[in-house]
Amino acid sequence: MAWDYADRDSRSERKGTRERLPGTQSVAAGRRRKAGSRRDLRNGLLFLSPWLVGLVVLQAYPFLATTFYAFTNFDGLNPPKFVGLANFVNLFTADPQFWPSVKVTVWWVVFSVPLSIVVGILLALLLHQKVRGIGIFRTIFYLPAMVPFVGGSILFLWLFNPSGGPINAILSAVGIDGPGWFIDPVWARPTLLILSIWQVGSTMIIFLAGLQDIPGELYDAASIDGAGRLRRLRHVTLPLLTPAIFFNLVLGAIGAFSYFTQALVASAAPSSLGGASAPGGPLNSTLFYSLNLYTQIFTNFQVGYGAAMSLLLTVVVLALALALVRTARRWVYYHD
Amino acid sequence: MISDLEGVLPTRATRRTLAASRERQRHRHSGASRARVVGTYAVLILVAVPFFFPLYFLVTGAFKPGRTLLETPPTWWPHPWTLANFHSLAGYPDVDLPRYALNTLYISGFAVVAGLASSSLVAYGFARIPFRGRGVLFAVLLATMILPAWATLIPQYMLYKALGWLGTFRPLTWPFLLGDPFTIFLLRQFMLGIPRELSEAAKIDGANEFRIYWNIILPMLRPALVVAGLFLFINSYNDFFGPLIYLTDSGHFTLSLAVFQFVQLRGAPDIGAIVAFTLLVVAPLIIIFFFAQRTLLSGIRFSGLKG
Repeated sequence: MAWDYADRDSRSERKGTRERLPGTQSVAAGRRRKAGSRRDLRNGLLFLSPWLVGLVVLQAYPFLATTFYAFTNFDGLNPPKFVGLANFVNLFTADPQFWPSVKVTVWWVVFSVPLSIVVGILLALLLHQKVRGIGIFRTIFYLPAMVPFVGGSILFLWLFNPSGGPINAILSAVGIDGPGWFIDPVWARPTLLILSIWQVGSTMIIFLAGLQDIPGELYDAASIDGAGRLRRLRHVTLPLLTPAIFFNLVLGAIGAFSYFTQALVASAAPSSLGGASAPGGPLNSTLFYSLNLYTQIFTNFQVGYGAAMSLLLTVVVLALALALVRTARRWVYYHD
Repeated sequence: MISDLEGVLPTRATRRTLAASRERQRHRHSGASRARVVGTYAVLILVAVPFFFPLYFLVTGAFKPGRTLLETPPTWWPHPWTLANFHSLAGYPDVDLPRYALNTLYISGFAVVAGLASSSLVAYGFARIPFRGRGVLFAVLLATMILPAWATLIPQYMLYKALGWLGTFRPLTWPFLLGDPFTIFLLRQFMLGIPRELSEAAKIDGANEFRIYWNIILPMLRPALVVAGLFLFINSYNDFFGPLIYLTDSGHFTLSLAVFQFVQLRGAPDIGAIVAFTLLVVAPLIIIFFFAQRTLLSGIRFSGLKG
């Protein structure tokens, strides 16, 4: 992956300078080299300066400030007062919304991430068939991924509206009594899952690209060795897709922890439109962590409390990303 | 004569027909493989239906009479085709479609122009200038891409509030002047692939780094800039959370925020206007996709695999 390239790249460059340096060069050349590297440093920082300013003003300082606010009773107006671990104690022991929102979010990460990887691979395998007109199917499978999140959520509210929406009409035509979907606390999250699978296009394209990069000789060799289709899938295709699986796993998990827009749009809509008329509803079944956090900050003005929740989410996401990168060495296979 | 020439110079087209005829021959010989092709199509079509249906229903639904949209059994095809839903949408006194469209276009356009200008500079520093500490800074850049937005959101909000920017477009646009991590990353990857000899030659001729960036790298970067610009546009068009927290009066609303607000305040009798509104929000990106499909898909490939 990219960070490997980055490492290899800068390492070889550094080695290059070291090889050129020793003894053989005159003092003047050494001085020139030093001046050159000083000039490189100045130029490099100059080119990076927009991002460096952003890094300090919009990333580093805010992150430190979030960490600080997490231990205060900040309300957004009055000066924050240090309260120690009170926010965290509150979260873990007293807040009736916290654990439900954690459960909803963990459920989402556990189901949506693997499901979109499996569906993404299956669709990519389907699109990898060499038949005429496959481009049309690629367009059809990818197109939903272009639909803006808000638009897609409203569209699904309408399609899955239990009073008059086409999905339940189709189901009843084949003798199934459709559920209440976004209105039903049991079905609200699975319906969001259907929505996210409908928009799986980008994941699918990355897998498709991975499939197209697998050299044909490997399949030929496997066939000569007597491997059938399933064994070729298991022992050639899947190992060579592991970099793409890893990429989608990391990005998917990070995104799933911050899942927000679709849940808010679908739950806040009035019930006559198929929604729950309450953000996070019905019965907190779509109260995702981010949605809970948003309410704490922007409705209840519990800024210090929200900062504690933000910090917690950040620590969990970073720990998970780190853990995934660590395990990658064991199961991600790089072909070249 | 022409076929002779083709024999000498196999063009891409002839190579393709050759391959196709070979393929066809192989198929003609085995009935099993024909059955496989039919089976493949059957599965493809079966899977395509649920992916296609929602957009089909949205596009046709916007042109059906509004009262039929929540009726059982559903109307499958507009009968008659009507623009009534769009007229009714435009008739709501609190809906100002041109305003929302302009706001969205301004924010997304700003993101593209500012994002490309700043990010390409930063990417040049990362890709072409070998300075001490570059590796560490690049690792920091990657780390910021993993950081959830919540990690920095509250203090950012307080900062914009202190600057008096709440309710303006600035919190959604000005940060792009400071580079967008993903865009920087994408452009850097592309720049690494540009041969070093080109800039070395210019350096010997006395060109400074900025001239090399401007005269040599930037023109070669065109395809990558198109891809990165498309991503910037789509992501900023799609952004809902930023407008939700930073835009306060409906005169500044984006399309996504406005349609969300609209749906919250209405009910089943307004379904015609809601469906028309949804189509108007969705259509621009779908149209962009049809014009830029190849560029976009290759961009996703590039960012996904090389990244």
